[in-house]
Amino acid sequence: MRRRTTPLGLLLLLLGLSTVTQAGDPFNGRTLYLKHCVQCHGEDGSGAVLAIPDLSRGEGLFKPDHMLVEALKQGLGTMPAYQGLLSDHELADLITYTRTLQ
Amino acid sequence: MSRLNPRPPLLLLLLALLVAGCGKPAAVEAPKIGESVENATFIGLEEGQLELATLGDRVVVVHFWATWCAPCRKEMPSLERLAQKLDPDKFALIGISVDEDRNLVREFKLKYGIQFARFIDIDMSLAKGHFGVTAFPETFIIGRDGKLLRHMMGEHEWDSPAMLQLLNDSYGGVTTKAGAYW
Repeated sequence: MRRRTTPLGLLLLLLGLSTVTQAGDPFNGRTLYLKHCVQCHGEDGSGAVLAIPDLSRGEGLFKPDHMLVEALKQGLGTMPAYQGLLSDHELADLITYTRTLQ
Repeated sequence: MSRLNPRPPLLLLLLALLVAGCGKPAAVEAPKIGESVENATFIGLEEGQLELATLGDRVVVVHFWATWCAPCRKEMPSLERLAQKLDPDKFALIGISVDEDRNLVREFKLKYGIQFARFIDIDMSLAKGHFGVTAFPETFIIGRDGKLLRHMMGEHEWDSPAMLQLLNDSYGGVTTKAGAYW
């Protein structure tokens, strides 16, 4: 017997796909970087203050995206936390842009 | 036997998504240095509430934090020590947790002996909708004239001599030159 896909099933599938497989948007990531990160990391990622990882050399970025998302949500070392302020998608955008600084 | 119509659950799901989206407080821009900070209501973790406007002739330090925030957890002991050192007639230290679970806040306070953090902002309406917080921890120092003196992001050593000097200068109306990360 042939199974029919209900509209509800299709919607849930799309919602699921949208949260799992969507690639980060570097353009939105740049906007977020300039708002949230540039103060400490500098525009080119090399660090505007002491003891900050040099993102332009990839420091701190040798991890999978999901680990970086968690670090951004909860904060790490002196880096503040963004949980509740930026969505997982926005954090993925931010990470995608940050990887382009190398 | 009639088959269940898939439409009602679909409509309900869409409605739930819509309602969930509407429930989020709209983010505003943080007040600028020198601007008057509008009155705010701080909701007590246990009971009651406090109006910013009732704090009178004090320098008010409004600090947003959360138990899930690593740098917040690290600096809380130094904030508590600061609270013990400040003259309550001159300063008000308002610690506001944005945790969703009050019990986690109670547990953290009990474990680390934190007394100053007496307020909660479960839906982040105060953090996002009033102070325009962009990260945690974030701190606003409001002068005796109600204008924003300093907007500080991230972790600090709150009971350091430099910080105490900065706060005392704030009470005296002196603008201290801040370090790079302030």
